[in-house]
Amino acid sequence: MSLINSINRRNFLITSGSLAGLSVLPWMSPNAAFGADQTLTLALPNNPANFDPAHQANHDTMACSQVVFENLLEVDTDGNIQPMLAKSWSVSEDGLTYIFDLRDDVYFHNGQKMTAEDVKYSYDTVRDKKYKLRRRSLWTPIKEVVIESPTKIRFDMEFPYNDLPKLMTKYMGVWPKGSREPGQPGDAAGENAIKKGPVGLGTGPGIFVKFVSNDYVEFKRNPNYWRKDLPKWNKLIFKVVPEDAVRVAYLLTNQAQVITAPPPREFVRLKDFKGISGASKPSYGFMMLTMNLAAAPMDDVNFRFAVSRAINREEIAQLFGGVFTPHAVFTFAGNAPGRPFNLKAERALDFNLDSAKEYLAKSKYPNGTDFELVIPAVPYIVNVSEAALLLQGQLAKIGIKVRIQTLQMRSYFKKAFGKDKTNNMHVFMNPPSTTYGLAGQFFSGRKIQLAKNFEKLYPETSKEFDEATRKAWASKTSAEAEVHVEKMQGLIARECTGIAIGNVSAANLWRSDVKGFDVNTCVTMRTRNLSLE
Amino acid sequence: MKKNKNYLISEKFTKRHIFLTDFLSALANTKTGLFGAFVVLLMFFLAIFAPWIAPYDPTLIDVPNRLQPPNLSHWMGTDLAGRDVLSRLMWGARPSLQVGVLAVLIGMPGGIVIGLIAGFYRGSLLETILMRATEIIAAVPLLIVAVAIVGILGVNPIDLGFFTITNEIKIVFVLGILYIPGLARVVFAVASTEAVSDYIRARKTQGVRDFSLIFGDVLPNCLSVVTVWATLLTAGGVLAEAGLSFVGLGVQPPDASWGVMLSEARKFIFSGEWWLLFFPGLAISITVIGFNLFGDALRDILDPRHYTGPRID
Amino acid sequence: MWLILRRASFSVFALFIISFLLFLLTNVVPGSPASAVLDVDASLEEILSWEREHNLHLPVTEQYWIWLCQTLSGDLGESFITDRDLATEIKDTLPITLEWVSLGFGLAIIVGIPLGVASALNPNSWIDHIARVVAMTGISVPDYWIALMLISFVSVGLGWFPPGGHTPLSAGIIPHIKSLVLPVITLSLHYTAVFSRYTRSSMLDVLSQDYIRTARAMGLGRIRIWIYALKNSLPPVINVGAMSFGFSFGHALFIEHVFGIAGLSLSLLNAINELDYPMIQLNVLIVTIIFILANLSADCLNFLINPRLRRQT
Repeated sequence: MSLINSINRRNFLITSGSLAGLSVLPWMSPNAAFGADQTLTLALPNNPANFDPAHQANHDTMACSQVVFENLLEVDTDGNIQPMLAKSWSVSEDGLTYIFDLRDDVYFHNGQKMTAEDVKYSYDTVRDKKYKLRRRSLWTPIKEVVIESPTKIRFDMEFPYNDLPKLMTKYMGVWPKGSREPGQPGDAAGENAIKKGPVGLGTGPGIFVKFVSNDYVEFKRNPNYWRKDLPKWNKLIFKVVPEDAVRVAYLLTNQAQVITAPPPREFVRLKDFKGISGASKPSYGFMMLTMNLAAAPMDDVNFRFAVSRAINREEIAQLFGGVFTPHAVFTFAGNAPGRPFNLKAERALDFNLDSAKEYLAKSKYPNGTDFELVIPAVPYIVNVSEAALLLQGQLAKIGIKVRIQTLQMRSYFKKAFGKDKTNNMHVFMNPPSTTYGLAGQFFSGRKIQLAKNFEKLYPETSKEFDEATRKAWASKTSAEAEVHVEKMQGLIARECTGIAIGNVSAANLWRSDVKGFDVNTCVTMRTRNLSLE
Repeated sequence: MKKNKNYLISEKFTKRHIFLTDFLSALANTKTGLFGAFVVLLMFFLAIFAPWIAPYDPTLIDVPNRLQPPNLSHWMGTDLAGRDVLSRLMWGARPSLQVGVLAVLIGMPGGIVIGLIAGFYRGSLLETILMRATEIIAAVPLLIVAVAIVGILGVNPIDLGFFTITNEIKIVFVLGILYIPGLARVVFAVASTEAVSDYIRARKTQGVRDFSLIFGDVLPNCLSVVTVWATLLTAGGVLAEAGLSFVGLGVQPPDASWGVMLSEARKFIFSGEWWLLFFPGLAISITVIGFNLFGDALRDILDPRHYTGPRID
Repeated sequence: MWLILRRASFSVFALFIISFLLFLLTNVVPGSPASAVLDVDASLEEILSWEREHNLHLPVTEQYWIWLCQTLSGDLGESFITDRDLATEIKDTLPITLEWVSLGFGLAIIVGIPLGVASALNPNSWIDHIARVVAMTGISVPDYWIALMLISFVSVGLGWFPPGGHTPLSAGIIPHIKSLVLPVITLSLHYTAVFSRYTRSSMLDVLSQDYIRTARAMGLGRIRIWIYALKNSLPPVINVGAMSFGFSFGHALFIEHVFGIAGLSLSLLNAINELDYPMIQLNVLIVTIIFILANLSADCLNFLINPRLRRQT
């Protein structure tokens, strides 16, 4: 008898002890403000591959490189060009000469003063094949960079290129002279310092501190920042959180004060929640299908038209609850000045099931066929996996079977843009330029040309396209450019060499006690003005 | 159930000879065993007959009705694309059971043969080599290596021209090979005891060849432990397949598998769509519990040494 | 003593074989790793020169030898993908995983073993039934499912613990502990079940032995008997515990994936996603080493506890 009692007593003690312990827990609430010492945490879905402003592929992780590096001009959160390291600038009548007057009070994080020498070095190295920078081809229209004085610099262009100021924020930066050479003394640790950990090499509001891959990036306040009263934070942390729902949970539990790429349903629900603020702005990016024009079945024009006309873009837009605007041509939502919109092209490519069936009947696959579609596993701006599922269902209605394959980023890039060039569906984000999205895909001089084989397969269209692009770049006003970009849209629609699904908006959610946050129409989170009240 | 040709060993044989009726009645006496058997049968039934009994096509996309909670037309609700969760659940039984059963089937020949031979020739060099080799395979933590190998090979089907190695086949082979040491050890234990028993020695002196001794007499006696172990390994296989699919290395979305359904449900754990998370997880749990209970009951019945009766005190 | 040394040397041998097999595997994969690392437009010369740099043009055995010498001399090399020092990555992630896994394991031992003992000592009582239900659930229910449910109900629902991530010790001891609570509980649920089951069955086996009955008949006190029984039933439990410690890294992979803890297991998954072969190899090897060490220490522990084993050598 006593043994049973002793066991029960032992167990009783254990259970009551643990219950007592558990009851302490609610008092340790985690919701005390994490920003107690002015540390701001932002959550990103993707892991930064590097911090080099001229080598970025992902517009979310550009937020990291933009904390450290700056440029002559910048694009503000509404898409307008503003002076930055250059306090004023001018462009000649013929568009071939740009003159920048540099600020005199800018210092790199290592104490060195910024002069025209550094700017020249930066623009020379990005154009030099030796450094193998991803965004090199965006800057090759610069023929020569000439130093006129320590605070005045001149860009001579090969041809008129009005995209130049618009690309500076996303695809370029100013780094100290000599910083890309191997074996640097001081803060720069070898030629990969800018990519791996640019301590001391930028002019921006934050100094790079630490990067733990797939975990977080840390920056500390630049006390000698040329904008005298900024930044207000002491420490800035970007946390890498690939899962949508967990990112939202981080926001709700104050583990992160600002998040990007919120899942659409959560965004709609939470933006009016107590303690949380949310907003969205139309961006210049679109969701699209990139096809392998050289391989079956996408090498058949009629098949491509069938696919484009079978996609019910309105239905896809329903998935995203307001942060997505369906379009069949590559254009942008909102009232951007000079917004090109070739209505005829749109009508030729948009949803029309009967027309889709007609095209299919005319193609090589009147009884339907199948093709493979790869999508990225980690959401980029928005999550395309649900849209891909819808697309699969819609194409199935006319007998086209889509095999969806979800791949992690690296495998995805390999399969989609490598040797295989598998058809893929993704979001292509652009700077606030009306030509960039189209030129990026189809212009013959571009390295990041997505629709490769375009020149080879459709040489006349390609030539006309290049011509229209150059004219758009030479335009003096946005209305003038609009005409040329509409022509570009029409050329793509002619053989349906690109299928657009719609415009994505940039959306963010943040805690209401964060001040100074403005959604960036260019998506990348701006951290300079943030503070906690 | 083997017909004995030699009456000398018949007695020993019948002692371990479980008749089907005895077996079933013993099983029925344990409530848990019965429940386990029921679950196993149910899951196999679902897997085999899913195409006929599932109310909807598991790939049927129906956007206007997406994310509906369980209701009369969709008993387990709909998922993010409007697909019926119940149908996907039924179809999802297939990859889980396929992997669970096939992996065991692949591991069994190797494991049994190695265990038999090593046990029969215990003490010889052959035994040392065989058992050491299996120990090397067993020296690696199973899940980690399975993940690593499937990850290295990639999730794309490998096209060999006449035959495509899908992801599932890769998983099945990797798991099967990793199961060999466990099976071998269990069979080794039985085989080595049997090999030195009287009736085997008697048969040997009668001149029966080793080969027929091993596969004719020792093997049937190992079958009971093998069955138990196989059942438990199947449970493990179901868990492994679900886990691999969950992290994206198994069945690929949008195909249906319980692990894939759980991974798709992750987006909705805070927004209140509990049914997306609950039902697939429940399916995995019940299936694994069923197999485990069934295996435990089998062990209780078939292995007289495993004592679970009242304490003698 | 010699037994331990023999096992240790065999384990080292096994390690070499495993590392070689892994090395082989990464070379079997079609397509050069160069294509994953370099830009998609890399020309043939660029690919060839990258391969030359990384010794990929040499025969596999020679590559392995180079790698072996490098690793043994402490130079763990750099990741192909991120160009970061592999040693640093391991240094950053291993302690994190070791810490929370050990905590989970410890918790499982503290709760599981007493539960198993109580269950064995009181068969068919309420505590036995509860223990068996917990045990069955714990080994059958997928841990990532439990993790997801815990996050959604306990973390965001109640707001007690962060929904993921790992707060380092430097940020304060309370936040650090809070970030570990949920993963530790998830892991320990599974292993409590394992320990409870094994302790229970081992203890039941021991209690049914003749020598226990004899001792009781001779009038030895109940509690003294139980203590002896416990000591004698521990060796199989310790063995299982050691093996489980190695396997727990597999479970840790799923749990770290769900909670977003940047530990060693998650870095394996990330390495797989990024096609970072050197990292995958190193990661699996490290976990295998831990596994082997755990087994060896279990052997030592058994040795100490059980004098019979000592005499055997």
